[in-house]
Amino acid sequence: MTLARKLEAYLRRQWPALSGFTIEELHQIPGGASRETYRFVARYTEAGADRRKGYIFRRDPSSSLIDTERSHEFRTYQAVFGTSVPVPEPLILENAPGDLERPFSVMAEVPDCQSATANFAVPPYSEMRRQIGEQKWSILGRLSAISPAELGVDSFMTVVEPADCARHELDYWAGVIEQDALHPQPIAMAAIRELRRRYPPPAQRLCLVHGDYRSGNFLYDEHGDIKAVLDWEMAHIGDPLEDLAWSLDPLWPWPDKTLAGGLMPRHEAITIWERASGLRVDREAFRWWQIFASLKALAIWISSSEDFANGQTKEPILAVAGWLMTDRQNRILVDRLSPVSRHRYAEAL
Amino acid sequence: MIPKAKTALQDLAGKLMIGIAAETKTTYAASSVGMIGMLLQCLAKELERGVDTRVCDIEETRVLLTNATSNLPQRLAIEVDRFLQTKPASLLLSDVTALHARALELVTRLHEHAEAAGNESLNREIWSLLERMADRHALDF
Repeated sequence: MTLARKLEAYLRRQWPALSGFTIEELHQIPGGASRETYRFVARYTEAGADRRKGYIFRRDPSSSLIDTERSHEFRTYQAVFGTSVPVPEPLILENAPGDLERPFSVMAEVPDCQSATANFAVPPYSEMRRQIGEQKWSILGRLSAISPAELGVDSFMTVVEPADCARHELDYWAGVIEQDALHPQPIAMAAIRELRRRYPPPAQRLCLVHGDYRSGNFLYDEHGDIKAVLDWEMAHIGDPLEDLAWSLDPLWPWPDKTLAGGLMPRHEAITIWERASGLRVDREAFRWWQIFASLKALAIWISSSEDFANGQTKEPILAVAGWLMTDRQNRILVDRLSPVSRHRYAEAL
Repeated sequence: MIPKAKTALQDLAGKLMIGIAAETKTTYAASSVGMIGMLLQCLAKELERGVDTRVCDIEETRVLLTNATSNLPQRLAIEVDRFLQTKPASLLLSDVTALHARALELVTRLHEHAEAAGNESLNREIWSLLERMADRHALDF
C-alpha cells in the first residue's frame, strides 16, 4: 500500500464525519529539514457539501538537522494558533503511527503562499520587501509581547529565570558543538569563550522564543502579506532579544549584508520590533545575542555535518548545511569577534 | 584516468543541475538534485585544493607556534614542540586532515592561553590566522 493510501486509511478513522475522504495527491516538498514534509490534497463531503482541501503531513525522519520532540513543536503550534501570530492550524499529532511507520503530524495547508527568500530580490516581490519586513518584525514584536503563561507554553517548556536565559542557551549549544564536531572548531571555541566572559543583563521579560525566526520560515502570499510562521521545533521560553538577533544574522541574506533577511536595513527592522514589542534594544545585551545567534547557527551546521556523516538519512540538505553554511558562519563569526575584523560579512556590533 | 578530475566533477554538477533537474517531477526531487549538484561543485573544489588548503593552514600554524613558544605553559609547550616535529603520514587527504586537526587543536589551546595571559598581540595574530583559514576554505560560487 502506498503512503497516500495508508494515510488516507488513517485519516478516515480519525475524521469519520468527512465522508468519502480521499487523498488525490501526495508529494514530498523541500524545506522543513528537520522532518520529512509532504503536501496532500483531500476530497471529502462534509455536511452535504463537497470539499477539496490541502494539508501538510510531517513525518519524523531517521535523521534531522535538529534533534527535537515532535510533540513539543505541535503543542507550540497549538498554543500560538489563534493569537496575533499567524500559524497553520495544527490538526493531528500521532506518536503511535502503525502502518505509517514513523510518528507524524498533520496541519492545515496555508493555501497560495510561498516561503522562498530568493523572490525578495526580483519583481514583483522586490517591490514588497518593506511591506513584508514591516510585518515580519511586527509579528516577532507581538510574539515578544505575549507572556508564556498567557500562551500556556509554560506547562510543557522549561521556565528559566530572566537572569539565566543566556547561560541556559549557551550551555546547550556549546554542548552540541562539543558533542557533534567532526573536526576541531577554533572559531566556535573562541566565540564560546567570549560569550562566557560577558553574559548579558537579565532578560527584560520572558517570552516564547521561536528559535528559528528568519526569512524562509514564514509564508507570504502574492500581495506580500505574511500568512503563517513555520518551523517552531526550537521554540522555548527565553529572552526576546534572542529571536531578534537570530532574525538579523548576516547568513540569511548572504552575501548581501545590507538588507536584514533580504528585506530592509537592520536598524529599521529593530525599530519596528521595538514598537511592536514595547521593549528597547540594549546595545551591549544585543551584542551578546548577535554573537550567540551566529554561534547557535554554527552549532546547527556542525550537527548536520555529523548527522550526514553518521546518521542513516543521507538527505543532501544535511550536507549543504554542514558544509556551505559552516564555511559562511565561520566567516561571519570571525567578522563578529576579531579585533582586526574588516567586517566583510557582518556589521560591527 | 580523467586527469582533470575537478573539471569532470563540475561537468557532472552542471549536467545534474541543468539537464536532469528539469526532468524531475516533484519540487522535492528538483530541490534535491540541485543540492547534490551544488555539493558536487564543492567536492570539485575540495578535490583540487583540499590538500593545499590544509597544508597552508598547517604551515601557518607552525609559524605562529614557532613564534609563540616562549612563556607557554609546560604541557602546551611540549605538545607544540611535538607538533612542530610532525609531518603528515602521507599526502593522502585523510592523513593531511589528521594533522590539520592537530594544528587546529593547538591553535585553540594557544588562543585560550593568549586570552588568559592578556596577550593582545598574540590574540590578534591568532585572529588573523583564523581569518585567513576561513577565507582559504571559503566555498563561494
